[in-house]
Amino acid sequence: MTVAHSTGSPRRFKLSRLSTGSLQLNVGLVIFTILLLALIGQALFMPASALDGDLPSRLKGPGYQGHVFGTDQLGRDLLFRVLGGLPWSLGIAGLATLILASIGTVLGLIAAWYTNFIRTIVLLFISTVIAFPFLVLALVAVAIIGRGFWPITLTLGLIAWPVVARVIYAEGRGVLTREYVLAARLFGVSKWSILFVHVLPGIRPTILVMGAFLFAVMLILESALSFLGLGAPLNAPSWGNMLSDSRQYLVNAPWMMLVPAGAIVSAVISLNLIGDGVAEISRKRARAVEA
Amino acid sequence: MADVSKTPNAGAEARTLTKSGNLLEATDLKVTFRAPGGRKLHAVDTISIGVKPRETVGLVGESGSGKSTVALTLMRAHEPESGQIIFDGLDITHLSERELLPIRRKLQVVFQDPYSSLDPRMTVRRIVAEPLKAHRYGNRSVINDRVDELLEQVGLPPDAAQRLPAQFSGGQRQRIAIARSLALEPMALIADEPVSALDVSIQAQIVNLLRGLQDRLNIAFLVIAHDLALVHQICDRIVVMYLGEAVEEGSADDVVGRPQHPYTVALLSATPVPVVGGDAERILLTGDPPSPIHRPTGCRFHPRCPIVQERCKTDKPPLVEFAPGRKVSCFYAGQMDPPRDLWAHEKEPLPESPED
Repeated sequence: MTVAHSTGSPRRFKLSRLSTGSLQLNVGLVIFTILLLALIGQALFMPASALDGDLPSRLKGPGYQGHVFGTDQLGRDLLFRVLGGLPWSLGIAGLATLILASIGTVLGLIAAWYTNFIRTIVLLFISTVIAFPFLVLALVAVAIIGRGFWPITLTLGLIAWPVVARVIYAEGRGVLTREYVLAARLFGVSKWSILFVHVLPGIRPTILVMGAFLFAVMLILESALSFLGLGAPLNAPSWGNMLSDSRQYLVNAPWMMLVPAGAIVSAVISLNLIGDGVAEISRKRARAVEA
Repeated sequence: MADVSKTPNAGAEARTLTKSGNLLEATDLKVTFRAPGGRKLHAVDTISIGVKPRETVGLVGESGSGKSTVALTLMRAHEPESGQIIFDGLDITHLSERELLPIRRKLQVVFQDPYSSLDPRMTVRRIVAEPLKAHRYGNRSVINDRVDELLEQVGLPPDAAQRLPAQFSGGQRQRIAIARSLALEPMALIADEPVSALDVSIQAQIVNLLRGLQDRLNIAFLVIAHDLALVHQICDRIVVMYLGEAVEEGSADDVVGRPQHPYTVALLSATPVPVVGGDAERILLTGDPPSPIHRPTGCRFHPRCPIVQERCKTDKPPLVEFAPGRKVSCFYAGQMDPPRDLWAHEKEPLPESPED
């Protein structure tokens, strides 16, 4: 082609350019993007009154008077409620995952980097936190700091990080014993450079995969806590609260259970697909790179 | 600060030498590691070694003889238990990592395995630029120009810079590693088995590359290897190691042509020779080298020595300088005949073959 032609035409948008090459990852990302857009959309456009109850139309099935997913025992629209639950579920799980991934990565790398007593102390600390049963800790934490968005987020984030720390410790040690790290050291490359140039890129796939899976785990745990009455405040449209409400109406209004359950399942599946997809791609890439 | 550009003129930089004229000198270097059970593993036991400017010294021995430990200790990757390391007139034995930084610029290393010494996720340009960036060689365009120049020096195509190490063969990867080591125009280069991970057909090219670069860049070389033929080809002097100790030292031609220590003789006879009928009279050492945790008494070599005597089992022979620059540690030095006289020929350049 001539130069004039290629400079004249604007770059056309192609959907295939967004594709990652892994079907799992593509599907997972599509579902997750829809959930994210819904989260932003409801925050921007959903009026607070959409969550109000309308007692005459209580426990109606999907499709009744424009209630796409039906209504609950107080006549609240289930579609709006499940949308209103997005910040509770995705928001809490996402923030908790960010917190636990950061703490886990930092502590794991500290343990991997130092060979002296610092490693021993950090590893002991990790083991101690792992040894506590999660639900008991969560109970205590909620009893102390109370219910609400931030208490659950912090409880989840501050309790679940040891898994990440363990894995990052093992991975980090693996990277640090590579000869190219020794080479960098002997060339006079600084500690921080080694950390950011060699170690972090080396463990990035692990962080991504673990992050996606733990995001899903956090989502389920948040619902579980709410279901047990330890999570979101009673009136909040959290998916766990919705499930909890639905128990008494399982026979008469099964949609009350199916709607939040479907939301949880689709979010968890999308995150698992993303995790699997990232793992698959990084395995393929590692094979191509090491060969 | 970052804009200071350097003139690529290694020869102009002044070198400070020790009294014996060495640029890099280790005296009575001793390295021990802690083995399970609190016992000591004597990896290197009082080795002294010196490298003069422009000189190539070979450190030879079989696996486990501690030769790589010597290399890494000289680079201060291991802490020596005792002894002294002097480089460019400076005692670097106990310098902190911060104080070592200017030394690391002048003393560089090439590793054995170019598959593990290059980060598989970095492009060749970033790999070669890494030491340059660490020492603030200059701004981005200065560094880029230097990388291109280096790649050309080691015989890689200009488009190599954008590619990943995985897209290169072993020999080309070692060229990348060499380019990286030369980036800062070091005064001395320690090469730890630079060709033993490569195909035999590629080894000659890398050896020739190293020799050519030394002539051009005025570098002192310390080559660690187990292959006496290779070391004879490229080295001026040879130190033979056995179980952490130096057993023989001398000029390359002399050590290979008139070996004194029975271990050197055995090493020589183990080297395959490309001559019909040349494989007669091979001295086979029995057994593995003994453990550096439980070392034999007396001469460390006595359990495997073909000419062992009673005395060797109890007394340890000292490393004696029997001629200028020629040392051996054996009570019966020179009493074992080299198996053949195939090493008498003069050094000649290795045949140049096209890149893989």
